[in-house]
Amino acid sequence: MLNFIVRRLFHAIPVLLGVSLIVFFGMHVIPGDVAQMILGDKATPQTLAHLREQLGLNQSILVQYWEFISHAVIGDFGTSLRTQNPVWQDIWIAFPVTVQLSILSLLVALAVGIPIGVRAAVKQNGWFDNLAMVGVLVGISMPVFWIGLILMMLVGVRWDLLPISGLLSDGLALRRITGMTVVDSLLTHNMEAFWDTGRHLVLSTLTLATIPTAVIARITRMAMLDVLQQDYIRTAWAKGLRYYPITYYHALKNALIPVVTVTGLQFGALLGGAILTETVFGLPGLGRLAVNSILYRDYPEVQGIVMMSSAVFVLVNLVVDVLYAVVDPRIRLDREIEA
Amino acid sequence: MTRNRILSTLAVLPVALTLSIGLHGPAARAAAPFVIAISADNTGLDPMTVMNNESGFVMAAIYNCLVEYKPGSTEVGPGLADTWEVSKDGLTYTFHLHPGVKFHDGTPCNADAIVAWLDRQLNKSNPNYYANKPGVDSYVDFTFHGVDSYKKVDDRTVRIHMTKPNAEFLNSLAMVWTGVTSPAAVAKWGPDYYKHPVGTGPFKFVEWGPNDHVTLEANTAFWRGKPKLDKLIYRVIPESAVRVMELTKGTVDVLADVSPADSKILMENKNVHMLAEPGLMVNGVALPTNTKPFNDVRVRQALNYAVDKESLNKYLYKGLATTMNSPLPPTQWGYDKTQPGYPYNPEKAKQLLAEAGYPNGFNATLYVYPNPRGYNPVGGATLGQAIQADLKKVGVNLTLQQLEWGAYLAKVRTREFSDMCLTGWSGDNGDPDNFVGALWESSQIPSGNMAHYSNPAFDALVAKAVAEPNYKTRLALYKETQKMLMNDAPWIFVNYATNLRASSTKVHGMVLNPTSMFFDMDKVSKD
Repeated sequence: MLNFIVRRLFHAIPVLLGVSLIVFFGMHVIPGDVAQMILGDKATPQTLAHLREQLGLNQSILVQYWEFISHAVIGDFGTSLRTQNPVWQDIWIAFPVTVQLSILSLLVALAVGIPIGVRAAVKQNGWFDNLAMVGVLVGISMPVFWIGLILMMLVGVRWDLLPISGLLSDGLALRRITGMTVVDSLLTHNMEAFWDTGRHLVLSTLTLATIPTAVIARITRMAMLDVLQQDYIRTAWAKGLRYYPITYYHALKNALIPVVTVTGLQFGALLGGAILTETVFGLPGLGRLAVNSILYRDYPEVQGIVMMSSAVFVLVNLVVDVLYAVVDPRIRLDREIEA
Repeated sequence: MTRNRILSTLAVLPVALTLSIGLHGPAARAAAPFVIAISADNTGLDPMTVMNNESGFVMAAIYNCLVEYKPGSTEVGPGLADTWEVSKDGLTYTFHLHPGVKFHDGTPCNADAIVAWLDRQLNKSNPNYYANKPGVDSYVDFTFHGVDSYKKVDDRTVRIHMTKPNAEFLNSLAMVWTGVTSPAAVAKWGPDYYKHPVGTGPFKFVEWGPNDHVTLEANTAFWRGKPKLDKLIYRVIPESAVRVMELTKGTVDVLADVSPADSKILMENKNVHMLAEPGLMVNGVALPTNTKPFNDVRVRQALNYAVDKESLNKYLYKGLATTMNSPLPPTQWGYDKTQPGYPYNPEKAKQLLAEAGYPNGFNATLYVYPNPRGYNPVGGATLGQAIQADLKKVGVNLTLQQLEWGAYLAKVRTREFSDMCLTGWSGDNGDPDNFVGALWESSQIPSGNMAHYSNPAFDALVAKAVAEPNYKTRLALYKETQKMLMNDAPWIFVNYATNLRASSTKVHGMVLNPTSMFFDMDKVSKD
C-alpha cells in the first residue's frame, strides 16, 4: 500500500509539470500586454516600462519560465500583483473556505443522492424512479448561479429566513484557526458564531450540492441496477431477507466502487468549480480569488492557484484509489500496479 | 411500504437538518453595524501604494489630507491644514496645521509627521520608501512631480517647494491617495503597513478579512468631533443582484457601486434613496486630428453634429448619462455650463462635410473595446454600433474593429495610430488640468491624447493655467480652453455617465463626492 502511494506521488510530477507549462504559456499568449493590462488607461510610457522591468517581462519567455518553475518547486509562486501578499498566503486564506463548502456540499450530496439512487434502482421504472431521474436531469442542467439567486430571493428575501451572502454576520468576530468557520467556531466554543455561520452556509451548500447530488444519484442507480440482477441478491430475496438488509447491506456495498470514483471526481470538481457559487454568495474562497486574479491579470496568483488546484486534484484521485481497497477488500493496490 | 417511507424520510433528513440549523439559530445580536457593500476587495490601505476605488472607499474614512474637498464638490477647502499660502511665483506652498490632531495610535500629527510622510514618498533612500516593492500602483509621481524640497518651519508649519509651478497640486493633495499616514505605524509595520493603516480620520482600522470585509470603528477622539456611527463595515459582494437583495433585506445600508441595470429596481423601491449626479468623467470618440479627412476641423465638427447624443442617453444609457457640452464634466470646478455643445443636427453635418469637400461622406475605421468602463457603462461595442448607425445617415461609413481591452490600449496608444477610437477618462483629482491637460495637451500624445491633437495656442493656454496660483484667474483661463476645445472638436464629445449610489432611507448625511469616495463619514448617521 505504502509502495503504491509513493509511486503514485511520483507519477504526479510529470502531471504537475505539464500543468505548469500550460498555465504559464497560456497566460503569456493571451492578447495584450500584461503591464498595459494592469496599469490600464492611466499608464504613462514611463510607468509601463518600469512595471515591465519589475515583472521581468523584458526577459525571454524561457528565462521567465525557469524563474517561475525553479521557485514554484519550493512552493514560492511569488508576490501577488493585486493584493501585494505572497501568493501562498492568499491561497492559504482562501482555500479552507472552499474546502469547507465543498465538504459540506458533498456530505449533503451523498446523504441525498445515495438513498435516491438506491430506491430508484429497486423500483426501476416505477413512479419514484421516473421522478428521481427527471429531478437528476433538472439538477444537472440548472445553472448554479440561477439556483443560488432563486434560493436567495425566496428563502432570504421573500421569507426572510436566512442570510443570503457572506460567511458570518457583519460585526461578529471569530478567531481564525483553520480558516473553516464551522470548525473554528467549535474549537473556540463560540456557539453564536457556529449557529451564525451555519445559517450563512445553508443556501450556498444546497446550491453547490445540486450537481453532485444528481450525479451521485444517477451513478448509484446504475451500479445498483447491475448488482440487483446478480444471483446472490436473488438468493437473498429467496431466503426471505427484507428490503433494507438486501439493498443497503448486500447490494449497495458491491455497488459502491463507481460511486466512490464519481464522488472523488466530484470533490475535485467542487474544489475547482465552486467559482460561481462563491461569487454569487460572496464567499472569500479559492474560486473567487481565481476570478479576481484572472480579471486583474495577476498572473503569479493565477499560476499559484492553478498549480495548487491541480495538486489537490491529483491527491484526491490518489485518496479515491486507496479508498477502493478500503471499500472492496478484493482490490489489492500493489497487484494493480503490476497489472 | 413503510420501509420505503422510512427511506424517503432518510433522504430528506440532511436537507431538513441543514435547514433547521438555519431556522433555529439565535437571531438577536448587538446593535447592527453600518454596512457599505462594495463589489471587489481593496488591494491595500496605504494611500501611496494603491489606485483602485475599493481601497479609496475604505481609506477615505481612515485618513485626512492636508487639504480636503468641500463636501460634494471638487473645490479644495481646509483639511489637516487650516490655512495655506501659495507664493506669487507659484513655487512655494506653506501649510499651517490644525492644532492638537493625533493619529489613531496617539502620534501627534504635527510638522514632523507631515515631513516624514512626504519623505517616504519623495526620498528614495528612506528605509520605508513607498516604491520599494515591485508593481506598486501609485499617484505619488502624479501628485508630487516638480517638488524639490519640503521642510518643517515650526511645529505647526510645513513648507513645500517646487521647481516649476503646478497649480494642480492643491487638488491632488485632497485626493484620497494623499491621505496622511502615521509615521510611527509606518516605522512599526514597514512593508506590511498597507495591512495596518493608521490615520487621523473619523474611523479606526480594526480588521480586514480578505475578499470578505473590512471593519472600522469610530475614532471617538476625532478632531472634528465624535462620528455618529460606532462601527463601519465594508463588505465585498461581487454579484450586483445580490447587493440589491442585501439592501432590500436591510442587511446592507449603502451600495457603493450601482450597476445601471439595477437602477430601475432600486429607484422604484421606496426604502431606497438614490444619489445620482454626472460623474467626474467624460466619454467620447477620439478623432485622428493629424490624418485626412479628420485634419479638417469642419469634418470633426460635422461628426459631432451627426451623433444624436440625447437619444443615446435616453435609450442606450437608460437615462443614466447626460450630453457633453464641455470637455469638463459638470461636477468639475471650472465647468462652463454656457458652452452650447453640438446639438444633433444631421443637416448641418452634411453641409459641413460638403464644405470640407466630402458631400458624399467617406469611409473610416472605428476601434472599439468590448467591456464596460466606468465612463461608459454600456460597453464600447454597443456605443460603437450606435455611432456607426448615426454617422451612416450623413454618409460616413464606419467599419468597427473590436480588440480586447489590453490589446486595444496597446493599439490605440501609439503615434502611428491613425483611426477613430472610443475613449474616455475618469478624473483623478478634480482639477480642470486633469481633463484638458491630460487628454489634449500635445505632450500627452499618444498616451492620454489619442486624438493626437496638437495646437500650440491651446498648449500655451493650458501651461499658463497650470502655472497660475490664483483661483479666479485659473477659472477664466479654463473657460477659454473649453471654448477652444469645443470649437476644435478633437473628439466626438458624447456624454457624462451618471455616478450612482444607493442607500437605505434610514441613512442620513451621506453626500456623494464627485470622486466617488466616502469622505465626511463622521457626519453620516442611521435611524
